[in-house]
Amino acid sequence: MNTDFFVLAIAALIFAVLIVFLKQQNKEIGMLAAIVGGIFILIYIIKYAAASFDFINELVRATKLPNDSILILIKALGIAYLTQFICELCKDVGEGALASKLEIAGKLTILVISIPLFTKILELITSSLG
Amino acid sequence: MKKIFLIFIFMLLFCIQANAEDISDILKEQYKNANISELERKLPNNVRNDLSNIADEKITPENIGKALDFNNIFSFILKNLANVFKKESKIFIFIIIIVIISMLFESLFNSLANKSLENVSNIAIALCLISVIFVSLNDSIKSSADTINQMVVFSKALIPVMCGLMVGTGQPASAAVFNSFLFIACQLCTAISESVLLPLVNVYFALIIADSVIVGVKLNNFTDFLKKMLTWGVGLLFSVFVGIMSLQSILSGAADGIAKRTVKFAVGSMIPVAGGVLGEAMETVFSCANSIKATTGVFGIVVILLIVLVPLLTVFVKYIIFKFSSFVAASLGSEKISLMLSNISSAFAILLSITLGTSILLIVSFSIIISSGVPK
Repeated sequence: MNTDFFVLAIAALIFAVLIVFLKQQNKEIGMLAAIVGGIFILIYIIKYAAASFDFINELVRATKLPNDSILILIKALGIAYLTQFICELCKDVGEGALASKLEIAGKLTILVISIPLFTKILELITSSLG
Repeated sequence: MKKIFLIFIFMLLFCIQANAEDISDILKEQYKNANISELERKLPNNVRNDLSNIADEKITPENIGKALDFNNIFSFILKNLANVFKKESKIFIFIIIIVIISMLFESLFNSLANKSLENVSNIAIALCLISVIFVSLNDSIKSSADTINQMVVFSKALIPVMCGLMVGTGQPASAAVFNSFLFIACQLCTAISESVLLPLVNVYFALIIADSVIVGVKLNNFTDFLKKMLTWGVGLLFSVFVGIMSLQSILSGAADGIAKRTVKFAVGSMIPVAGGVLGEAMETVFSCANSIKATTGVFGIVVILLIVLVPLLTVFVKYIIFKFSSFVAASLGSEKISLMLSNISSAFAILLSITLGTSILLIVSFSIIISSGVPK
């Protein structure tokens, strides 16, 4: 894991130098390099995150409690990370308006995937009242 | 002289054999008359099993003195506590998982200047916690209501038996007072607990949910006020009941003491020759009735304790789990979840005080009945 992070840090540094160099030569290619660099780092982060989610899944399985709500939370976490990451990328390439629209989409997606939790709580409340 | 001698011979010829009655016979007779077997039929099923399991032999009012042993009781409580802890510890792991996920969310938002997704994520975390906690709290509220109901149903069966035994010990005034007072106390206990206190716990929980889900609304002060009102209300209600009952027992006890002495004096002075012996025999019968009253009362208290034991332990363990989870969340830096868990642990504390308060009220009432009329 430590070696992986070392590779990631070096890759980020190389990408940074490359982007600065490319931006001087050609702005469009520089932006493209920034996006590729971002996606490369994102893929590495997902690899890291998968290991911690496996650990969380193991814990949930050990409790034998329904894991659907935890799955929703993990999905929300993934969406939040992805949204923020892409938003930052969009801002980097000067597309602030697109970033703010993506944020709204991210918020809505988290709300939509949380709807089963709302309905579950409503069902619990109505069953306890009835 | 001759006449006196003839009368003496005549008396010797027609005298009948008289033996002092064995106390155990009197006890058996009184147990039979007190209709205690009817009481055993009113026991809840789980308590009937517990009474068979807690000691080597099944606990009944007749053998409660021999069967009850401190080691047995202690190991029984520990066994139940371990079972409850094993069952409820899953919630703790679940909460810790959610705290870990919330930490991941927080680490994301802390590393970024833009925190626009934070509120939505907090709502998702709060909903996830509530979906699990709601089931746990709702189960506890239902179980507390059932426990109070079971205690009251059993107490309603025990009150006439105990009051009948009080009349047998020469305390008719106390029996009349306790009979009506305990019935009123039982009715009020169920009415107040089921119609006021338990719904208020639900309201308290709803406010905690609203406080944690709705962004920008601070209901903390109101939930604190409601918590204080509930705990004060429970304490005041039960203190007033026990206080009035203690005063009533002193007053009616004095009246019974006068009546008892009057009857003993009347028997001793108005019945010629055997009056004194009959007075002493009356005292023996009263003592036997007192002994039965004590064993039946202790049996009743043990049954109430067994009814309340598992639900009380469950609520207590949940309270500890939520309090501990709150400390863990606070130490991991998740202040919002910590506050929410702390508030929910308070809801369990209120439930604990309602159930414990009702059981203590009934136990103290029966203890007053047991101790009243016991010769000092």
